[in-house]
Amino acid sequence: MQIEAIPSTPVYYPVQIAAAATAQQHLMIVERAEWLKPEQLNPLSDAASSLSVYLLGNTILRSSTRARYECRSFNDAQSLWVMVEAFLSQARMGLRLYVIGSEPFLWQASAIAARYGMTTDAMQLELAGKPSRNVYCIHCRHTIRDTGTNLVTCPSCGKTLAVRAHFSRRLGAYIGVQADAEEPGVLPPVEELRR
Amino acid sequence: MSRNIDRIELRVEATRDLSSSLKHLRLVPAYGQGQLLAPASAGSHIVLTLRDASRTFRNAYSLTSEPGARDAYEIIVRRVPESRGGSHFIHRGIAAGAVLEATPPVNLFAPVRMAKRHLLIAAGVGITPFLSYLPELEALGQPFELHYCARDDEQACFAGWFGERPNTRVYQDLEGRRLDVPALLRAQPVGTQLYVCGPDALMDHVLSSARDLGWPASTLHAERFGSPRGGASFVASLARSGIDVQVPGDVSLLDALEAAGVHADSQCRGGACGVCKTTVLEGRPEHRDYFLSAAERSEGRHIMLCVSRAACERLVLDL
Repeated sequence: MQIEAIPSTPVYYPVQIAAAATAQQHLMIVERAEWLKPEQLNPLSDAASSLSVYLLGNTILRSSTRARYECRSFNDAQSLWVMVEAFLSQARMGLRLYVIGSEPFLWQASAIAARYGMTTDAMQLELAGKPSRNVYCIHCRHTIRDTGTNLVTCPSCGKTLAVRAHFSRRLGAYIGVQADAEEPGVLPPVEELRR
Repeated sequence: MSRNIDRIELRVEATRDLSSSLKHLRLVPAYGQGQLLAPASAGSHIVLTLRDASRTFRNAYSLTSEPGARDAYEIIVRRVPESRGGSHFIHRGIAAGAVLEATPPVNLFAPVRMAKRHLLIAAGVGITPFLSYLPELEALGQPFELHYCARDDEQACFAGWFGERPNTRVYQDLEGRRLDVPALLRAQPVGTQLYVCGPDALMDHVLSSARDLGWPASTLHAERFGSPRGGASFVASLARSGIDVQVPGDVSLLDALEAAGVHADSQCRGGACGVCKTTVLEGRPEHRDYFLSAAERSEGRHIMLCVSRAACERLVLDL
């Protein structure tokens, strides 16, 4: 049983850096360096605006791109997010945010940016890697991180949850509802999630 | 289901001249002792119907009363020498006791409550929607800056309104030449929302500067209450009603339809809200609104009755 998309299900597109003239500053956050295609940076060869690339993991970008940018890498997610917040607290209007990563990573970045008042039309989110979802248990309000199947067991309340297509942008998670509530013990087969 | 109330009656309780060209009106429910008005949020406006001997004017006015006030709606009207006539009529012909027909409040210019900061830019009588913003934003505890480009008499009137607030600046120059708009916009931290109300030239300058600096579209908010510019006269043929309405050069299409007794939905009368969007069956519209997309404009299948006109002699409308 795959999850069928409904209007709240997010749709992702490849990151395209806005033409330099339309924004003053660009921040790109990438969960794994290999998910960033060097040509994605090229439209910014214009020096009128600045680009910062924040990478998770100990990688330095190959310099096969024409664009000039400041690149920083971080060993762990926590120090990445601390520096993202430091960046946002200093940034001016005219900033564009680009995020490439797994779904939980994208929505964590989006939530931080929203906390600084950034609007969704200033952000681009590109999904990469294998399907991975955060699931919010509606029974005990626990968020189960990085799940990959249509059924998950909530480690907090023990219920087996069916992962619904209903996605909360605020929580960055899909809604999980007890799968055998109607007929106790009757569960659909477990399947790996496809994108 | 709520009843759809589209007309209310208000009695002018008091008028006060704030200056030779600015008049303050306090409007209360026309009938019934102790009746309460519907509360209005910051940035709301009402449309007053003003009947002269020869013509009917419908003008939108921002409410300057405290958000949520239910005892009275307050407005400030500037007499414009070349006005459509409604503002002139209020200055000349309206006194305490007069009963006016109005729409209930509508808000097309509400502050974004999720924002971190608000930048307000006003010029001239365009300050009026922001007078209700001040108490609202202060109650929300959200930081804001107000920049006001004013005529001399407006500066005298409204300076007292702002009190000692350090985050308001008044520039004695209506066109806003003393306000360096790009520098102001460039200095705004991430999370700012922009609101602008004033003469078209200033609003266009502010909005295009913001777009050039990469402000996202969702952070830009403008309130336009300009009087529709006139143009060539034309005929509006109404396909469903089967009548032809002559639209003189100095009368808007919507005003002409209403004068002919044709009911057409409308709200802001400034080309902003989209309520009067009407299907064009034949003829080419001359678009003057801020609502239709570029694609819709070039398609020419729809027209905003309140501000747009015909680029030909005859327009056939689905009315």
